[in-house]
Amino acid sequence: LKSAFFWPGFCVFALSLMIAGQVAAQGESASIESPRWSYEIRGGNYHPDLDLFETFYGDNKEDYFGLAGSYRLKEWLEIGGEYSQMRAKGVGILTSTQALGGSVTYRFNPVQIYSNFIFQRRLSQRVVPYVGLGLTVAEYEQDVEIQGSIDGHTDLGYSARLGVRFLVGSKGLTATAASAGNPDWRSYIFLEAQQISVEVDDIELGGQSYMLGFRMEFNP
Amino acid sequence: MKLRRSTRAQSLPIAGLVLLGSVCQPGLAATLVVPTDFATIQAAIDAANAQDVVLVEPGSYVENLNLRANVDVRGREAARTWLEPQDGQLPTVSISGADNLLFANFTLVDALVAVQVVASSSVQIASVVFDGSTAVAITAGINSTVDVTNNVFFANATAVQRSTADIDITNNIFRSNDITITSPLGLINNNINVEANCWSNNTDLLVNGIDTSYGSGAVTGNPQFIDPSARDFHLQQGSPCIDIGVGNDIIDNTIADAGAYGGQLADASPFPVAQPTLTDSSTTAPAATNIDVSWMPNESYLVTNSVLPGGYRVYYKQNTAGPPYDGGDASGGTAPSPIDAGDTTALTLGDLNPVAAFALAPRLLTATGANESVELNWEAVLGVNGYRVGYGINSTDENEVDTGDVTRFTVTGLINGTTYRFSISALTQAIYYVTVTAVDSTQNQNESDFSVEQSIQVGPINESPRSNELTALPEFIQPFPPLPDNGGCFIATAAFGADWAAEVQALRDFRDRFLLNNAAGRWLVAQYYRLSPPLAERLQEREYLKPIVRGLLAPVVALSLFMLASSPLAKAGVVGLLLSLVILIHRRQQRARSQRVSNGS
Repeated sequence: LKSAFFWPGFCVFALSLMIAGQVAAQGESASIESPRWSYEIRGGNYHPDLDLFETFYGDNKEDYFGLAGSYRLKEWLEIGGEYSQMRAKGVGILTSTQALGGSVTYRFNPVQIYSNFIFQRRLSQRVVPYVGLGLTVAEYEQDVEIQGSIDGHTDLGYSARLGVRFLVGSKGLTATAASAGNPDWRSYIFLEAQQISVEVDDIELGGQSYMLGFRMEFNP
Repeated sequence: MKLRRSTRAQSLPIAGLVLLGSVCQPGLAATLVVPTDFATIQAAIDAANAQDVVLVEPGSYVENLNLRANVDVRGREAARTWLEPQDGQLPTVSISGADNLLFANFTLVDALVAVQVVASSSVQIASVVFDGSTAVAITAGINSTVDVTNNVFFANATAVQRSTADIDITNNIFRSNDITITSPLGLINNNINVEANCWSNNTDLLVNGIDTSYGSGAVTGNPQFIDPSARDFHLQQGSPCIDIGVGNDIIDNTIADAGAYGGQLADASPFPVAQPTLTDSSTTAPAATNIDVSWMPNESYLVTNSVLPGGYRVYYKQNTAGPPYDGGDASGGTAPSPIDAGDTTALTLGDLNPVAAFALAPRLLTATGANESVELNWEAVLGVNGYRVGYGINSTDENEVDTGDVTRFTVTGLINGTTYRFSISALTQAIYYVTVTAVDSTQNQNESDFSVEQSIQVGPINESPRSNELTALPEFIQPFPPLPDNGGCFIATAAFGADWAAEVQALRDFRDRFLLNNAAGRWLVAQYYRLSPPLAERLQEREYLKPIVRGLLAPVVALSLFMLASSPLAKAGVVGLLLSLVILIHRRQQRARSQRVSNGS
């Protein structure tokens, strides 16, 4: 099951890296006009793929926040990394009585590296869709009050993302300015959906997230 | 304005007398006490009438003062009344057009200009310590008459700058100043109206490494301050500045000492002793409750002296903190507080009779089961020293554990799935509170303020009745989902084969020395520990990847070794080299970019 989830994601990601490498290898003549670097601040909901999650934590979704950064290799391709956090407070199972009880805080923090394919034809395009694939590993912690905590990490998994960016503002985005090395930037508000699949001991901790975020692209 | 208080004095003899006078004879001079009556010194000065005295309690104050005519401003103790400027660019104390006043008994620190006198006559500056003024300690302009008497000038850029010879400089100590006395264009002879001062290690007066001096009756040589780094400028036995001044000391009525702690306005009280150390030295055969008290000496020559020493007094009491220290049970009741310890720094409060109060039974609020443990929570009981938990399966008398003075405790080592019974009791034990004072060797036997109080619990322990009883079931709480608990491991260990490999040790040393001692580094290490295990795991499974990872880690290991083994100079050299490289590359890129632009156009 793990391989079934892992290898397709890995292959697509490897393919995207190969494409990225190929593009990068074309040399400096393949210059781009969009800002190369970007960072994102994002927040939303995470819906774990755990059937009984709502029973133990009171809801089937939890607040989810993340930070991401990326580097644009080509107008249509960027690679990046993201670190996100989810925290849920709930109860556990009292093993003597099999009743729900105790106080448990569950943290789930996935780390992703990803490649996004951006559907952008103009520098000033106001609505920019994109899709992406990535590799993911998540750290987790279950802090049981009085009893102590359990922590660890998942196996390597994958993630997929789909989103749309809405241009908010920009400056200095002309071919001349870019080639002259002038500072320029572009900012977006974006909506994004993610599917994460990460396992540990055959337990799937992944799920879906739906986020709203702010993205700033810039040339340092 | 910022106001900081530190210690508070025990008594107020000067203020008390003046205040008493003002109460008995309304309309005469009053004493305005800071911060008791006014929050700031300046507020008291502004509110004062002519002939009033502003008296400042010991503490650290941050203000710039503007003194007024006919209003004296005194600290209660120079040694413990510190004043630093709020605006460091302005004089700490300005005396401008203000006649007939006294400024005394302060320690002025961190000033650019400590005291500036402009067009003011009959000004007296006495018993003040000027420590580290970066421009000048006292500057007095023309049309001013100032008596600079019994002060300490220590490590100032310039000690006294006078534009008129009407600035009399008497009974002062000048130590480690760049310039001691100066005047505009050197028009005033530095020997005029300079008398009976003590000179040492001042840059402008060192001739071939030997101290010289100005004025008449001068003495040279190390004044033997107790601890200038702690701003304690009292004189130790053997100081050449003792008994060399003009006039008499108010403390012992001998010839005046030079410096801030001699003359007629010197602090009457010795400097307080540091907090004493208490040790329970009780014995069982014969049974006796004893407390060993020891303290650091007051090094002032008026206290520590091989010929005529002062001494110390030990105050004690049972079960309530703070004065009055009215204990009376030491030595079987024959040594009531205070005990004159004499010229020693240790004393045993022996054969005490500790009496511990009986406390009421506490109330046990909750008992919450967890894995092999139960957490207890109870209401605090006033006046107790600790609590005792009793617990067991059939009776709470089966086991006992003392918790200390807390209201939450976790009993561990329990069997999951077994119901336990719990109760608690409060424990009381006598507490002795001890403080020490220094007493000088003068006829008046002037006594310092109390040291910081110290306490100790001694004697038998009384146990209150047991609390209500609660039961709880220790059991394992399985969080959802059931996940494995796996610890960290190292990519480097996986790559180099063993955690004792030299390369791994270098990285570990680098972590300990450069990362774990700062917040950013600790965060980085924590993230590494969290994220590295899966990578290390995969590395373990793939031998062919190890040489690649070792190659990737080689620069990091080299950098670690360099950082660990190289000197600061070598590090600076390498950083400089790298910076030069970066600048070079950046310039080349700029040049290439300009070339491309010009080619394009």
